[in-house]
Amino acid sequence: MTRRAAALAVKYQGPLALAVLLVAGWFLAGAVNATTVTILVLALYYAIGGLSFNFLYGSLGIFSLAQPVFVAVGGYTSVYLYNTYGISPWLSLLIAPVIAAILALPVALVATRIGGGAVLTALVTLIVAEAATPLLIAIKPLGGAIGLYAKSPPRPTFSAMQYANGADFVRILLVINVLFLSLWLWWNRSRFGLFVTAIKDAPDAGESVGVPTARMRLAVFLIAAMLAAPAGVVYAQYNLLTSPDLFLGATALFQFIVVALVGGAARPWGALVGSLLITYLSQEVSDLSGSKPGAAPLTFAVVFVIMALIVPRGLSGTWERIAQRRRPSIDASLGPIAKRPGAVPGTPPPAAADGEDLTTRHGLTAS
Amino acid sequence: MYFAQLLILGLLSGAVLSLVAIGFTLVIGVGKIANFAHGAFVAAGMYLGYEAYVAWHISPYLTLLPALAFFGLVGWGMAEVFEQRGRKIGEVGELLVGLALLLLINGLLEALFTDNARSLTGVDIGSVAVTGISIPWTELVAAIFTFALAGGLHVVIRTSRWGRALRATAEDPVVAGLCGIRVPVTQRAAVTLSVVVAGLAGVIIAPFTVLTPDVGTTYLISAFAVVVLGGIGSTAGAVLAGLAIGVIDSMAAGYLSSYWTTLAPLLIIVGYLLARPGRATA
Amino acid sequence: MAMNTRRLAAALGGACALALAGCASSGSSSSSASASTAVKTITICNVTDFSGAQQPLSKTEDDGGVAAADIINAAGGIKSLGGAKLAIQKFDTQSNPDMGAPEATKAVAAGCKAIWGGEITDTVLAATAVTHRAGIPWVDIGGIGDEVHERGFGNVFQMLTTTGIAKAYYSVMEYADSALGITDPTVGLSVSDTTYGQEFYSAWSALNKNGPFKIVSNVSYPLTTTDFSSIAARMVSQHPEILFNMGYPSDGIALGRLFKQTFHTTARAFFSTAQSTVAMSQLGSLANGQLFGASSPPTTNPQLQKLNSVYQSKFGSPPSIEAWQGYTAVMFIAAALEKAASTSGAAIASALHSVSLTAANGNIFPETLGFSSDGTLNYVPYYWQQDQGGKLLFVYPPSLKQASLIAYAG
Repeated sequence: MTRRAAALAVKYQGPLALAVLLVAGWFLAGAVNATTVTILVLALYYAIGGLSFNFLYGSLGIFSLAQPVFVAVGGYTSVYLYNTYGISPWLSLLIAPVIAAILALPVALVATRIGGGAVLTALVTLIVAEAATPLLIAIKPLGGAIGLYAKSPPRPTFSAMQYANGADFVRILLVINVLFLSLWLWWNRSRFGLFVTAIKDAPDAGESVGVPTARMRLAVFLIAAMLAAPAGVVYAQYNLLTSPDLFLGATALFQFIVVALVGGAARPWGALVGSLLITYLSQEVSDLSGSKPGAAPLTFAVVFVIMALIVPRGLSGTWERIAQRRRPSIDASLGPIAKRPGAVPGTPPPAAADGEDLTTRHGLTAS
Repeated sequence: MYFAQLLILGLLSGAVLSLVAIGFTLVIGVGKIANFAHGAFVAAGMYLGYEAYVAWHISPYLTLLPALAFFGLVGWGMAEVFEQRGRKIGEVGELLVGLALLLLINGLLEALFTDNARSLTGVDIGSVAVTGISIPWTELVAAIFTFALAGGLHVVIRTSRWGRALRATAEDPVVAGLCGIRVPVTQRAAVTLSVVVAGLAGVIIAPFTVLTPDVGTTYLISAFAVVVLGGIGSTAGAVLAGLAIGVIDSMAAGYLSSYWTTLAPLLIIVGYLLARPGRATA
Repeated sequence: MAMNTRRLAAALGGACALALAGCASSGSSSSSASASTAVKTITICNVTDFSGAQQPLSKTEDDGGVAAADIINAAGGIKSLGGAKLAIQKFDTQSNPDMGAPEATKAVAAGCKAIWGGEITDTVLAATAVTHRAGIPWVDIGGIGDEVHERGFGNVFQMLTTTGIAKAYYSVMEYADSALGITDPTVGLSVSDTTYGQEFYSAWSALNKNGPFKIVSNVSYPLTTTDFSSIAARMVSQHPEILFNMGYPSDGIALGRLFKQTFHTTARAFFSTAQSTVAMSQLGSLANGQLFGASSPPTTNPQLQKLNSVYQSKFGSPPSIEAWQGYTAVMFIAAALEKAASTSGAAIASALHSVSLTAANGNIFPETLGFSSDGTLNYVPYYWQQDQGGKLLFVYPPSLKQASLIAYAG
């Protein structure tokens, strides 16, 4: 490869990686057996939820356990509109995020004004997630505790997003994942994204130069909610069912943060990596443990303890640390302070050295 | 009459909520750790009381003393782990450790006791008749224990040196350290105390509660709600908020439909936070 | 930046993981013996919740099915297929509806000829969508939602439906009215706010559309309720004649304790889904007068005796009502295999629609059982017992009763 081509490959590594994933995944979906297909559907579904969590956590430091609520909004919107008005779930992919954003507004108001970082926001959003189930049950047209069964036309059709086999669902979820990852990569380079990073690390500085911090924080929360909704739309069609238990049951509530934490909290690729690993692991555990009670949570507990002690930043984060340590950093010439690995969410960064390029340190420009 | 019955029942169940919340407010307010496993420790205490009675015929009230030692050790160990890893990595590490502990305890309980719902029957110390119903003494003992514990903690925190160290650490660990308070030790002590309180709470409520391995998560969520409402770090707040939520739950079940039972306290908390957002961090 | 290297590697890693997962799983064989050659073993599968909240029920159901297979194999296997023996494979849906489709897919790939099991309706719905497409018949035990058979899949069978259970409760409640001389049947009702509870409630209400039961207090409660005291208070507040809980077995036990110990109720009957042996051991004398769905048939035939002895020697305790259900499901499958003389899914399903289970082919109940055209049992064997002074006595159906029904209070 020529030096120029190599340089281009390095510069566009993000989009290249996404392209590889999309193409490889598209063909693999049709090539693997049915069991793997169902594993992939689950993994890609959790990955979207985990991504919406990571986006919110990475941008604002808000540890949101309420993302499953917005996923549920997607599922309910899609099935309700299809059953009642015959509106195709493809349209709901666009409608549901809007509804999710509207419903997210009161939650966003509380979560962004509360301060206290990850701990308090985790508490508050958990309470919101718990409140969502009785709310859903109370709205009678949504089917109460039973939920709604998606009407299925006599033959699977494209417009109803119902297919005879799961491979097409894998493809839909894959495209959504790739799309959202691309959006996030673009966001990191966009002006809006830069502002948000700025106000996260130094909100007072942001305010003092006229950045409307409160409104931006709200907007980010709403965007995260909108990212979650499409996952619910597709999952409801896959199961032909939407119910409180499917989206907000005890296991479902923690699934997104589990995959996000394992894969790497606040990292774009974290949710996907974590999700593939966790879903695959659950299947293996269930096969090997031969159905002894307590085997599954114990295995995950061990995984978590190992993670907490050895790789607390998750797989993505750890990889990043290793990669950064190996690279002879341009920052090395600036002294020991600049060598510090990526900023830890929630703690203030150390003061910059004179003349240090802050945008380089925060990864906002390629070095 | 019906109203009076609901009120008393609400106060009793509220006392249980307060008991669980006291430990939680300590670990969050002073220890500065969101211990996701707090409810799981309550569940562990419940099963400890159950097993001691069923296997060795030891009354839960006698099990309290060894439970104190057991949970004290466990709590101290957990505080060390949090100290080691949690604080150095920041909040993500802390949440990871909490989740890991939650899964570990849930898994152990499920493996040892399976998912069958169990009741600790046979611990009957009589009952007292009030407003036409008979309240079992086991529940009254739990309520009395709650108030005694809260009262004792309140007095200790207000008057003793150690209590002042706790308050200072809760308010601002950095400045407290500058004043010569040994912050890590104080925080570790708070975490240990919270685990002990959780475990003892479990033992005390075992005689009148249905035991399942995941009952801990329900208590965790209730404790969250009570602590947010009562103010983080305040034991008096935990008691008052717990009683309030217990009564609201009881009234909701008594007069409205079930979704209000879960919804009403949650709505109140969210409304409260919206109205006074800064209050929660006090 | 360093992040880009990681991203590329992660993407490649992701693609590799996909590929590896695919390679690993596609190695498992999914072939089955052709129908024309002699079949030595027939694989039947139990797809149910071997872990998680439903595990206690599923475990005993599975044990019952295993006992049935042992009995069939010991008697010479499926004779119309050359004495082929039944082999059982198990798949765990982990009490999680997400696992319904994946585990069903695995079962189909493993070559199961027929499937029994299931505890949660949503799980069964998702799983049977998969097995229906693959043509494998499923005998559902614990997923009692009526939707399971209402979708018109010709190869899904339901032993227990919410409507069936509601009917069983309704008829014994009518009987209790007349037996106890209740002229004004007022009911204090509590319903678990779950799919199961809500369906139970609407099925029972449909039966009661024209009375005679008058619901004077009605409270519903979430699944996570641990403290039933205010619920009990509300149920007894209007002093109803009948107390009725449409919830889970442990709810019935918690309420039973409160009704007697705390509220000294005057109600004359209390119906719940509590199980008799568990309730009596946990409540002691407080369970007096409580009515239970029976855990043993009132008469013992040789089939039941055989099941009892096989089960006892293999599992160390007598079979529970769930064990009977597992046993009966496998007996049905065996009878269908026998009748169809084939292992094709369509033949087995068709045979299941027409076969009758009697004492000759393993029925432990006094009534002949069979599946109707919609996949539900034509008769649901449901007997009622009552704790009378610490003794469990049959009180319904009247033709098989051992004692008269007594009042709950007092």
